[in-house]
Amino acid sequence: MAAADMYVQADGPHGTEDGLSWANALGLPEWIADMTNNAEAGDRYFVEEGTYSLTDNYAGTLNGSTAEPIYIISVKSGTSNEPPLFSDHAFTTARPVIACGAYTFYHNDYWIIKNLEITGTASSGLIKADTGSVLQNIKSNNTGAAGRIAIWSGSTGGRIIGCEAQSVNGVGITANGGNLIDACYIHDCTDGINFNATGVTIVNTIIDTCVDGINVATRSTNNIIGCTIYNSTTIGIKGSTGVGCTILNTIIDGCAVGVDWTTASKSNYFDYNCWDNTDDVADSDIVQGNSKVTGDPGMTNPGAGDFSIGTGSNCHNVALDAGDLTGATV
Amino acid sequence: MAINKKYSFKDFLDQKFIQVSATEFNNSEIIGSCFYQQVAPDTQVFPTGITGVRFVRCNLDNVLIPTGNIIESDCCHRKIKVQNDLEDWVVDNSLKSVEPVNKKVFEELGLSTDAKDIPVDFIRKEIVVKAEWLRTKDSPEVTDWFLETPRIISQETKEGTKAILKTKWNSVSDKTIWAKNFDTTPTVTQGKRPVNTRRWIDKNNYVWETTLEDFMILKDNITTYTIEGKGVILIEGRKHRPFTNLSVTFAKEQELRQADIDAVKALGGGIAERLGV
Repeated sequence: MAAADMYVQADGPHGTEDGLSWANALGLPEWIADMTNNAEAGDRYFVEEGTYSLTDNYAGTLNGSTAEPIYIISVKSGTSNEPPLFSDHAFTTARPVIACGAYTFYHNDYWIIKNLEITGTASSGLIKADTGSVLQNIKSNNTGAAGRIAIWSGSTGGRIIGCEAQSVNGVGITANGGNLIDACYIHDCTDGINFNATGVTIVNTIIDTCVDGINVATRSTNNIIGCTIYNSTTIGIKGSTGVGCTILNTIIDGCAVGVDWTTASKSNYFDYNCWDNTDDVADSDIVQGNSKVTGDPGMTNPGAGDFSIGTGSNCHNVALDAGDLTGATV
Repeated sequence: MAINKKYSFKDFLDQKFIQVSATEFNNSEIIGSCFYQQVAPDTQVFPTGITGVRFVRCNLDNVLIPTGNIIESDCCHRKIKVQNDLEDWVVDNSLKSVEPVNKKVFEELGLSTDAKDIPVDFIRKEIVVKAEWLRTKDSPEVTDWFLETPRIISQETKEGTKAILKTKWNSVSDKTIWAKNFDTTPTVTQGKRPVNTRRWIDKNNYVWETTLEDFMILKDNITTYTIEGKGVILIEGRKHRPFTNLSVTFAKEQELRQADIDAVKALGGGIAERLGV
């Protein structure tokens, strides 16, 4: 059977209920059934703005492929194009809400999921990015009990891009081996990001007002580049025995302690970072690097979510870039 | 029956409508909404006296629905409670655990889905700084979360040093903010340390200059305790007090992942290094 475009509406199903057009869109139960039983490489599910309340766990076992992922793409209310255009894609408050309750919304390998808002309380993550999968423009808020996870990067090579994660009693994102977390906003968590394996890369990400911003724990060879860690009430970046990590071009500002490691190692490489915390480092084996910047980064209004800096900032134009590489011609 | 548009296709997780007039609900059809209450089964969500409501495709887990209202078969209406393994379990009418809400994950991880294997008590485990612990151990922010006086099961002491730029030191009147985690009042000495600053030549060009600046150096031991004792997992309406326990599924997943790492390392030949494990 060839890959298909399927259409989903919260108040569906409609018409013939085959999902092959907006007039015959699937509702939530039909959509779940189709993803469970029929999803195949190349399928695209276009999900219209609205609230979709789960009444059980969804844990799909069907995979896309490296050549043809399976897509979930959410679109604005009233979209009529078949297939929808990029201008129909849903952002901010137009995103559909998957109301999970106590349940999870898990997909398997090689799924690309865009433009959703997810709420719930499940312990091991409301949504996850499994092998070769992408979560993009997802807002996940876990209001559950202690330690609950907003986004679980379930397996090797999952990518979390442009997402927002919040878990007031738990973890914003739990990252697994080889994962990429890029351009995300993680806030108001106990732990902003937990590393669950090695080889994780976090870039261009803001971690705001968490108890601990990033917990490297025992995990090694992870990278934190071009990030902002602001107002961690305990520690901005913490580790226990993790080694070989790289922290570059990152602002660590307004934290009680900027960086702390239980067993610090000089193999964790810090440089070209901006430090302005009550206590920047809590261990003399945390080497800040020759090109560190200290003092107020001068962010525009971080308390109101504006982390931009101007040309007069202490941090402007001090990041490591290609021009700093001796021997390279740029 | 008319569809209740105000309360259909909405997310009402942990919200209550007890003060709302029952007439907003009576004799209407509510479709596709989530009313789940995470703290306890049989929670009153709707006002007293609602009648004639037909719930369709709704999440009504832990919601008390009075007689006189209809719950269609495509709704969920389970009783769910977090247990001492930090997982949500479906419970019966006497609040006895029946099976995990995420039974499939348990089975995939090889965990027991038999309720008799849930720990009898929740043993809360925390890592605390000794100085902070001594200040707070008898206060409600601690005692409300433990059912017994917690035991100190291990401790670690290492020398701590803090260096504060003297200008910053002088600008703050309450200097204890830097000393609060030391075991005792730290010694304070003054010393010089290199600081890199930029000197702008023009609006596009600058040079780095290294100067020796005065720092106040605080030094003393810092001890951390690992404490544990019977405790509670959550208190309704209170931001939770962190603990180091892992949920049973998360702990198992980490354990299995470590087994994979160990297997790769055992292959030798530099494979582990190349893979970065």
